[in-house]
Amino acid sequence: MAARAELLAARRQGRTGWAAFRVPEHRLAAALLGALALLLLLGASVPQQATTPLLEYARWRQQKAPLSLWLEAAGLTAAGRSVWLPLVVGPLMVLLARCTLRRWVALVRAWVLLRQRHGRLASRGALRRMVASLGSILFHASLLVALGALALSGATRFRGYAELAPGASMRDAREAYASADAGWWSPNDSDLTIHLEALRLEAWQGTWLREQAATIAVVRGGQLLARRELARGETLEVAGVSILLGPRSGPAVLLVAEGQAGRRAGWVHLPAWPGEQETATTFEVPGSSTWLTASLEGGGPGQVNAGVLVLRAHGGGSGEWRLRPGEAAEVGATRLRLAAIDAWTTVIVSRDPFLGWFFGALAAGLLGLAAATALKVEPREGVAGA
Amino acid sequence: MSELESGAHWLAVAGYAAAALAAGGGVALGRERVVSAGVWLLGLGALANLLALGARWLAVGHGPYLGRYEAFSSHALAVAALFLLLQSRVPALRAGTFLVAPAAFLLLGVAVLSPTSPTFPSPALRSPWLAIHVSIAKLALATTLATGAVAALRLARGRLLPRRRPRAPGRDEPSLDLLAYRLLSYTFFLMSMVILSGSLWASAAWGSFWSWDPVETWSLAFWAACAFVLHLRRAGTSSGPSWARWVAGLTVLGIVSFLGYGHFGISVHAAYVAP
Repeated sequence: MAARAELLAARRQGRTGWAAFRVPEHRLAAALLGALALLLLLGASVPQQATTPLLEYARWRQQKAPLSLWLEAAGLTAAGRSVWLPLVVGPLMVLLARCTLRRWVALVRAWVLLRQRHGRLASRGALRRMVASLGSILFHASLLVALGALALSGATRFRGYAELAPGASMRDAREAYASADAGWWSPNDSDLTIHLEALRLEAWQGTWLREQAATIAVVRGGQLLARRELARGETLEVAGVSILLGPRSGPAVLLVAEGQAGRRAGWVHLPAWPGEQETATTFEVPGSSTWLTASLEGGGPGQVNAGVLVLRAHGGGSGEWRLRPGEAAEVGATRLRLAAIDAWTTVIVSRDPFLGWFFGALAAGLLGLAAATALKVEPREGVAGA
Repeated sequence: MSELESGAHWLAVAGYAAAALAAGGGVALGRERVVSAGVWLLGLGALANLLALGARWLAVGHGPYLGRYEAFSSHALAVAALFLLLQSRVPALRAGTFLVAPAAFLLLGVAVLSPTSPTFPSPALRSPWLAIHVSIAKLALATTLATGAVAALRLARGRLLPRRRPRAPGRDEPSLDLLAYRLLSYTFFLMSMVILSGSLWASAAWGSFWSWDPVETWSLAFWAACAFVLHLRRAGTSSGPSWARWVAGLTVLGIVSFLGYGHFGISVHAAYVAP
């Protein structure tokens, strides 16, 4: 009621231009936060395109049609890219800016008044309220900075990955970037070649991957820029690009095909180690139009060469071959030899100049929130008022 | 699983069940002493739970946060321990045992019925961030449930609480309204820490701080909902029982967020906690 009266008074006095700014800020914030929570809840309740396996998403889409199609059209199956998100977060950012500014001005005024009235000796309660208000202002301002950094990061970052077996390389880092997301203004300046020279694995009981480290060399125009053994979680910074060893790995088999088309060799990556989950993958025999399903029996990250490669004709055709390293099989007119069993790992390549701003702002915001929360100021007791 | 671990776990289940019965009976009959007995039984259950988790830690060589068995057992301990701490500071909260003890019982029930074979941490999990992120998340779950218990007590005031008036609250003892507000503020702070620590960890492990995984989206939705309910109170649009109803609804959302998708759905987080 008070807000409405204030609004009407502003209109009577011909200050309608300012009326929009007189909507009580906490109510508007509550409404926008409620809308954001609702939107995220809807997004969390339906499969997300970015994180659901392709086949599973397609099945859900087919089974739940037409609802799934409506949800998709409304952008709820891609919450991160939904048009609704900026529509809610944008006004929230404006509100955050306004709230921060208003409360900062109120805090400074209160501080000046306090000094005028009490000189240097302000009561502990008043100081506590001031520190709590300052913490709350810091939290809101930091959220604003973090959201701004997030927007800039989304527009300028690129991030991609490639699965590499020892001896393999990304010809060009762009090969990796093409596999994942890139912002509108992402610089396409990377002419780096990344080689995975060696991969070292450790396992729990020989079966479960425990740890991994890789020797990575980065080359530009034939010139070696960096070579280093990178443990998982460590980052190699080269020419403004971060190279990170990803947490995943799996078996890779080197197959050599000899047939009418000549001799060809290639790595086939199996999705996971035996015992972890489904290990089968399908591939086309190099130089022929034959498709095979490959899986590994036995072995593991602790004993890479101990496994047996099982090849089956894909699509119900006849034929099954079991190969150990060095053995060969005749698949149609092609002779297929298993040259080696090794492992692949994920190499993540990224550039995100605003990431530091994002995390720095969030850390500062948490400090502010800690101060505001720990000082136990009552809901409507802050210096700036409610 | 050792006999000590198994025995201690079942003792904890019995302790939580007895605490739930005693506190529920005490509240229904208006007997404050029976409610107090429920608090003691909850403490006994928490001690047994702690012993079981200690034995587990020694046996598997890592903290109790991998696999549904370990995760739910430590959830139960966090919820019971935080509530015991809170009620020792604010005696008016004791009646909340009739809600917290069943919650701890159910959490531990899920744990003991889950497969107990040890899970080995994958490379991404072998990080100090695991302990930080998971510990804060457990504390956030505990404060969420404690907030819900306070909101329920506020709503039930004059109906379910002991008929005989409990001893007068101390001068520094906050009202249930204010206590719910403070607990919700702590929950909001802890959820912010959970999200930040998870983002930092994901950035270090996967090179991406956010991937819209269902568990991440649920936690962000819960965080936004916490902010929404806190702003409702600050705006003065909701107070007293109506605000307590919002908090109770928020608690349900929190429970789904913490215990739903991460344990029973398809998610990168599920891979970490599922057996």
